[in-house]
This record gives sequence, C-alpha cells and structure tokens, in this order.
Amino acid sequence: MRKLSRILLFGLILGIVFIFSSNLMAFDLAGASKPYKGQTLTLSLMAGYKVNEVIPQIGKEFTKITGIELKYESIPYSETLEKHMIALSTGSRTYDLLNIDNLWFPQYVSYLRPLDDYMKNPKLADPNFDVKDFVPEVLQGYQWEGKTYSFPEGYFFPVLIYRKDLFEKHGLTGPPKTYQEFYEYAKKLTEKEGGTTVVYGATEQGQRTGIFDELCTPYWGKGGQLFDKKLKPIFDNQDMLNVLTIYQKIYTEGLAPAGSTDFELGEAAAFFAQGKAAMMWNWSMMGADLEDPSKSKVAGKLGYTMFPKDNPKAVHYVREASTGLCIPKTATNKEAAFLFVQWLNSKGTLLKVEAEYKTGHPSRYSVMRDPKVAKLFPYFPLLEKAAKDNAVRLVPKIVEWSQVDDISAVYFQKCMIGKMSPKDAIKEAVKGVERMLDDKGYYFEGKEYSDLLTGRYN
Amino acid sequence: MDAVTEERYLPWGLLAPALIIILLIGVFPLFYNLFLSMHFWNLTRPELGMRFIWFKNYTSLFTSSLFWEAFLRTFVFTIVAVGLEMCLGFGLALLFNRDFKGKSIVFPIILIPMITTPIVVGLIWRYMFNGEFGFVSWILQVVGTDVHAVLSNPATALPAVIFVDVWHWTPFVFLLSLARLGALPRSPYEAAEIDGASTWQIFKWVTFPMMKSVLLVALLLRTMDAFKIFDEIFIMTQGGPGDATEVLSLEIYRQTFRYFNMGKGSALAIVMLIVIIIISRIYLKIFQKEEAVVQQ
Amino acid sequence: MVKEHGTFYWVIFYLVIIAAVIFFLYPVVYLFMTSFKSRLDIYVMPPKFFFVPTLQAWVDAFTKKPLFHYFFNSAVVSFGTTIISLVFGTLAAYALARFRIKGSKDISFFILSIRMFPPIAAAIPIFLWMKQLELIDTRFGLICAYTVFNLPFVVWMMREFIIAIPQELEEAAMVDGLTRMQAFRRILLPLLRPSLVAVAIFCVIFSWSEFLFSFLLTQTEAKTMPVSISEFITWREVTWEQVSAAGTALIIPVLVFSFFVQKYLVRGLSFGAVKE
Repeated sequence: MRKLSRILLFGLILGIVFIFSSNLMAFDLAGASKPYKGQTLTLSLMAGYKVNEVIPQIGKEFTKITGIELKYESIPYSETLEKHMIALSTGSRTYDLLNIDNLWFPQYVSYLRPLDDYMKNPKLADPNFDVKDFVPEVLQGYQWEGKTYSFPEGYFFPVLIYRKDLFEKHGLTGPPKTYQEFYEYAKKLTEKEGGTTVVYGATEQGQRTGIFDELCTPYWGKGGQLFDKKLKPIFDNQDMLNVLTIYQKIYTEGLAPAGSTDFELGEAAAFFAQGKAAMMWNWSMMGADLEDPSKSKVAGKLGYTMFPKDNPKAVHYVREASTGLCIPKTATNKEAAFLFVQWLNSKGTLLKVEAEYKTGHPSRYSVMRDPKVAKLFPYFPLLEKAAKDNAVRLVPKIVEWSQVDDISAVYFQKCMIGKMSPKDAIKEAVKGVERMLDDKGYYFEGKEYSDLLTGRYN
Repeated sequence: MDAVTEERYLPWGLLAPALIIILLIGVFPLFYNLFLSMHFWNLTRPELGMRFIWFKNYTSLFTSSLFWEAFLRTFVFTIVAVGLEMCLGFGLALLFNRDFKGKSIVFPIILIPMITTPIVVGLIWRYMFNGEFGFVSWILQVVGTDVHAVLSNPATALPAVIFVDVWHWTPFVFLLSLARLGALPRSPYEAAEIDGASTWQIFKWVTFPMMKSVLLVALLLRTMDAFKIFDEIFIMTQGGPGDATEVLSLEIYRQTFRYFNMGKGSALAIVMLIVIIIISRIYLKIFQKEEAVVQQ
Repeated sequence: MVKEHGTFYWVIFYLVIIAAVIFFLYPVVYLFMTSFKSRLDIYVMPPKFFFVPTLQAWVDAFTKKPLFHYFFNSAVVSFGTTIISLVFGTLAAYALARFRIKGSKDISFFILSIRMFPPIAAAIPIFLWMKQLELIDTRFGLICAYTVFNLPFVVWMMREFIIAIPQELEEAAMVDGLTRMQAFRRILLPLLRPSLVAVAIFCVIFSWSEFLFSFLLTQTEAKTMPVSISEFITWREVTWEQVSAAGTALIIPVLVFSFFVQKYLVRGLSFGAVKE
C-alpha cells in the first residue's frame, strides 16, 4: 500500500515537473500535432503577396514536423473575395484556411471561427507565441468584438518614395512637408526634352481600386474625417476640396504620366522602377521590388519617408494593410489549421520568411528589429516609427467599405481627368455613399457607430 | 413497335437526354434567379438572412442612372461592334470568294482570332494598348497623336474595346459567310450573266438575297454574345476607367461579386435575359419570313 | 463568269488581303514574340523587334505552376463536354427537325434561350447544385456545366443542317425497308459529318476557352488553363513574358487542331450545300 502511494506521489511530482518544464521549454509542435497527423489542410492564397509565394515552400517544413499535409490554391487578388464568399455562403467545407486582406475582414467575419479558445488551450497553444510582439494596429485588423481571428503575416502602409539623386539634381534638400509642397516639387522635378516628358514629377494611382486610398492619405493628413459618429459621410469640405484640386492639377498639368488613370500600386511601381518618375505615393512593401536590381533601375537611389501631412497634429493618417490566414467555421480540420497559423506567425518562422525570402513587410517588432533583417531595406525604421507615432489606422469596420471606396472612385476618376470639377465630384461621391448606406439601413433611429470607426484627430 | 406509336414516342425519346440535362442544370439557375431577384440577400451580412421584398430590386434598378447608362453603353457596344463585324466579315468573304494564289495559307490565318481564348485576347490587347510600352501606343505616337494609353482614357476606352471585339469576331462572320458563298447554286448567276447584269446588280439581286438567311444567323449569334460580353472587358479594363466600359454583365458582376447584393444582381440578370429574348424573337420573326420567301 | 481583271485590280486586291492578314495575325505573333523576351526587353519604348530570344519565361511559367496538369484538365473537359453535347444534341436536333411535334418551335426556342442566359448570373445556382452533388473541383462537374451551354448551340445548329438536307433521301431508304433509326444512321449521319465536325470545333473552342465557371467551380484539382493564366496578373505586376508564354501554350493546340480540320469548317457550315 505504501509502495503504491509512493509511486503515485512520484508520478505526481514527475507530472508537475513535466507540465512546468514543457511550459518553460520550447513548444513541442510535433507532440501537439500528433492527433492531427495525416490530415490535409486546404489553403486559399491570394496571388501577388510575396509571403504567399513563400508559404508553399516554407510549408514543407511544417509538414515534415507534423505530418499534416498542405494543399494550395492561388487566386488573383481581384477575384479573391467573390470566390471565398461563394464558398462560405453556400457552406462549402473545402477550405481550412483563407487568406484575407484586412480591408475585407469585416465582410468575412460572420463566417469565421475565432482563435481565442485555441490560444488558451494548453494542448494547442505555444506559450512563447507572444501576441504583444505584433504591431497592435495590425493585429486589430483581425479582431472583432473582442475576439481575435488571425495573426497578420505582413504589415504595410502608404509612404512617400522619392529619388534622392533627382532631388539633389534639382537642388531640393529634403522631402516635401505638405501636400501643396508635394505638388510644387512635382512641378520642379518634371523634366522635358523637346515636347516629351522624360521624367514625371509624380505618379498617381487612378485605377478604380486605387484612387480613394491615395486621396485619403493627404486628406487624413489635414485632419479630415470620412464619417461622423452616425456614419454619415462628411468629406464634402474644404480639406477634401484642396486635396482633390491638387490631385487633379498634378494629372491635368502633365506632372504624372497619362497612363496614371490605369495605375494601381503595381503599375505605378513598375513605372517608377524604370526611372521615369521622381516621387511616388505607394505601399511600403513595394520597396522590396524597387530595391531589387534585377527588376529595378533605381535600386539604391531611393529615399523613403512618411507621406507629407499638412496638419502636424494629425495622427492616424495612413491606412494600414495586411494579410492573414483565417479559419472558416465550416473548416474540416480546424485544430490543425490553428497549429499552422500559429507556426507560420511564430517569431522564428516570420523571421525566417523575412531574412531568407526578403518579403519586405515584417509585422512583428522582434522581426523588424532583428539585426539580420533591419539592414535589408532602408524603409524598415519607418514601419516602427509609424506604429509608435500612431500614424497607421484601419478603415471603418463596416462590411460596405469596399463599396464606399468603389462608389467614390468613379467620381474622383472623372475629376482627375478634368471631366468633372472637384466640387461636383465630392458632392456626388458623398451623395452616392450616403444613399448606399441608407439603403443598408444604417441611419435608422439615428444610431451611433463610434465602435466601428477607427482613427482620431488630436 | 408500329409506325404510329413510333412517330409519337420516338421524338420524345430522342429529345429526352438533352432536355433532361438542360432542365436539370440549365433551368434551375433561371428559376433560382427569378426567386432571388425578389429577395434581399447580402452574402456579407448573413445574419440578416434572405428577405422577400417583392419588386424592390427592380425598382431600385430602374431608378438608378448608372443602370441606364450601362444599359445604353451595352447597346452602343453591341450595335457598333456587331455592325462592323457583319460588314467587315461579309466584305472579306466576298473578296475571298474566288481562287487566288496563297488562299489556302491566308484563310486559316484570318480565322486565328476567333479561335483564340477570350482571356488571352484580353491580355494581348491590354498589353498592346499599354501606355508605357504597348505596340499600339507606339504607333499612335509615331503617327503623332497625343493619345497614349487608349484604355486609360475614358474617351477612347469604349472604342478600343469595340475594336478588340471586332478583331476577335469578324472572322466568325467571315467564316459563316464564306462557307455559304461557296455553296451557292450556280444557275442564278449564269442566268444573270446572260441578261448582262453588272457586278453590283448581281450582288444586289442574286448574291445578297441568297445570303440573307446565313447573315441573319450570324447576326443573331453575334448579338447574343456581344450583349453578354464579359471576359475580354473584365481582363482589359474591369469596366474602367470610371465607368467608361461598364457594360451590363460587368454591372451584374459588380452587384453580385463586389457588393454581394445577390438580389439586385439577379434582377439585373433577369432584365438582361428579357432584353436578349426580345431581340432574338424579333430576329427569328424576320428569319422565318425570309425562309418562307425563299421556299416559295 | 470569270472576268479578266487588270494588274491594277490584283495589286489592290493583294494589298487588301495583306492588310487583313497583318491585322488578324500580328497581335498573336506579337504575343508569341513576347514570350521569348527577357523582362528588360519588354518595358521599353519603342517596342523591340530584334532581341536575343530567351526561354526563361517558358521555364518560369511552367515551373511556377503545374501547367501540364491544367493542360490535361482542359483537354479532358473540352473533349468530354463536346462528345456529350454532340451525341445528345444531334439526337434532339433530329427529333426537332424531322418529326411533327406539338410545340416544336417553342421547344427549340426554349433550348436556345438557355444559351442567352448571361453565364455570370448562373454562377451562384450552379455552384449550389455542384456542391450538393459534390462535384466542386471535379472535371466531371465542369463537363456538366459546359454541356448546358454547348448543348443548345449544337441542337440549334444541327437542326438547321438537318432541315437543309432533303427528307426524300431517308424516306426512300425507309421504303427500301430500313427503320427510321437505321435511315438516320446510314443515310443522314454520313451526310452530316462535315457539319458535325464544324460544330464540334466550336464546342471545343468554347470549352477550351471558358473562364468564369472554371474559375468558380474549381480549386486545385480540376483547374483549367485559362484560369491559371489569369493568375499571372497580380496587383504587384503583370509578368507579361510569362503570361505570353502561358497564353501561347494555351492557344497553340487549338490553332493546330483548327488548322487540320479547317476544310470541314467551310464544308460543314455551308448550310444548304447538298441542296444542289
């Protein structure tokens, strides 16, 4: 009898030691994934993000450790939403993980499974995962009503990219400080030979999916807001008028290439990489391509800085963007999917992604500060600075955001090419957005939506 | 089986497989769309569910100016593109309706665009029209116009898209016309020749009347397809710049897959279907009249 | 009939023909050429016509994506749907053309009207169907979807062709003791062969090229070529040289195929050809 109790005691102690030590020791992925060995995860990835080209390669390591197989589908960015929505709304069980742009996250959220209980489950959670290491604004992009749905693999926002050599040539000492100055610089930097322009002062992203984002940066930089608390669009004001007038002038005066009406981030960057423009509003991670000499003639000649803001007190004036993998409610292998998300977004894996594949959009502080990574791209300090200064913001968390963007873009484009006055364009855009939101029933009973709106103006 | 029962049941037996397939996979979407078009259903707001709202989707369509603009644009696109295709295709077929050296090489070459995948057609021309390094833009520069990026300019985007459709489908009209031209009976020509008719008279009184029915078939098929054009425009401009090339099927795409207003998208589809049916009914009426004349 | 024309006439004639050839051929040649360019040779103005050809784009395109697999899918789906549509479609067309059926005209129009339906509007319901039957991401599912759009075309065209062939031929054979179906098989079908080939070509071209359904109804296994080509367009860049390589690879089989059967195209589409 005594012997038995001694054995029990010994076992108990051993058990306690084991639990503690496993908490202190590195997370045992192989052990945690044992019950799910042999399962196959189907991932739907957006083509174009560099990290999504990396995942299929680096995923092999995950399979090696866990025995969980991975299957990939790659979808063009512009058609992702429709394909996912059809699958989700018809209850299709095929996908275990969906790659989601944080811009669209609110549209997905009612079909997704939160990760919180997995994160608390000692059998699944990696104790060293360290959620606080993510840039908080970026993580918020995947949170809804207090629950977390994913971790961001990437983090980027619009910056000003400019040609240091051309600035020097024209005697400009530093980047422009206001949007008006941006226009004046563009004028100075435009170089003509005979009748044709050889270097344009700036690029513009006039495509229907790009223009609203580009206009928002200087508008928020003036302290402007898009919506009031009741979600009524309020950008029919002097600030937006100034921004749009300058934006139109840059195009109609030939300071940006004629093809700008059809530019989005990729086209603008490709144009810029040819050395044909001096300044560009573009997303920070485009720097990864611009600094690659095999793709870019301007590698090493570039300066990166925050986009000029007119009001020094304006915070939250650039829109943050990221991608993350989310688990649909209908997924077949949810636990295995969680293990993959956790593994992919762990410090070690993300560091490896950045260091070896040079994706150019670290989302963890520990990664961007890592000496191996920090020297890769000259704009990395900006990422940390923007996060510290609270400069990045999310779009309003309403499912109709893409529609707001889309409706306004039609009028802003007409204005850009001079077919509509800035005043009329803004008026029509506001009217269109308000009508759409009214149709969706947002203005019943004068409800307030402060919780859906992000960004503030101090 | 005796002849009478055979007469009665055999045709249905022959029709059955085709009808079953069409009923099962083809008709269901039709009725489902009719059903959806009277509902509110937004995929991104599943918590609101599906709600019956009578004809609200239709009324909101008919009161929207963007819809009427897209409607008009689709008509302009269809009429201009199909009109040009018919003229060019038939003209080219008349030209080819003789023996000349190299015909056997040239003929398959002209058919190439028709065989080319729409997605690839869209890509080729998006590339050729590119404002920075496109071939067409270069030609335009050399010629001395100040138009560069044709697809990025709202004034030129729709003509450019029409141009591409003409490139893509003229060979189809050409093929149908040429096939029929080669099969026309000789005797009317010989008679006309004896009467000393001029080339133009022969064309007007002999060739054209005999070609009418095949031209109508080509016209009907082309109109139906041009009215629904999607792939090429989707790849080239996505309806842009602004809404310069936004035709009805892109509008359906936007409502259904950008805004996820399934009801409104379905209502649009139904409207479009009704318009196509009306147009083809008219064609078929003319067609049957023509056939009746020919048979007399 | 043959009139003598002067040299001037032939000069103009050939100029027009050459212009037409350049107009219709050049864009495709340009695509072909681009697939052998290096990236730096693409982003230049004026476009380069002489350059050092490289196979890099082809290698990249085919290693980046399992294009051979997609190729196989495209081929299976195209031929599958073509065969099904031809068999069932021709039978139905025969019934509509040769029998007095009540409402025959309405049935033909009904069948035709299915083809008028904008495919984009059918996407959601068809997806629901396919999901119920567990046909998502299978080649068979795609074959079914394409058959719905090919069948009306086959029925409609074949009906016209059959009407154009005089009924007396079959009637004579039936008087000689053949049954209706025997007459159909031994008399009518051989006469219809060129038309069948012509219609088949159109079915193959349509199914080979279809994009929307393939995009929505497939995920990884049954994906076809056109869908994989659209994936070369990303917001970061359009890799024009790789798109060109994949695009060339996609259209070459149909071009070759059509080249070999082109004589059927003319013979088969000549409607009342046998009337004389």
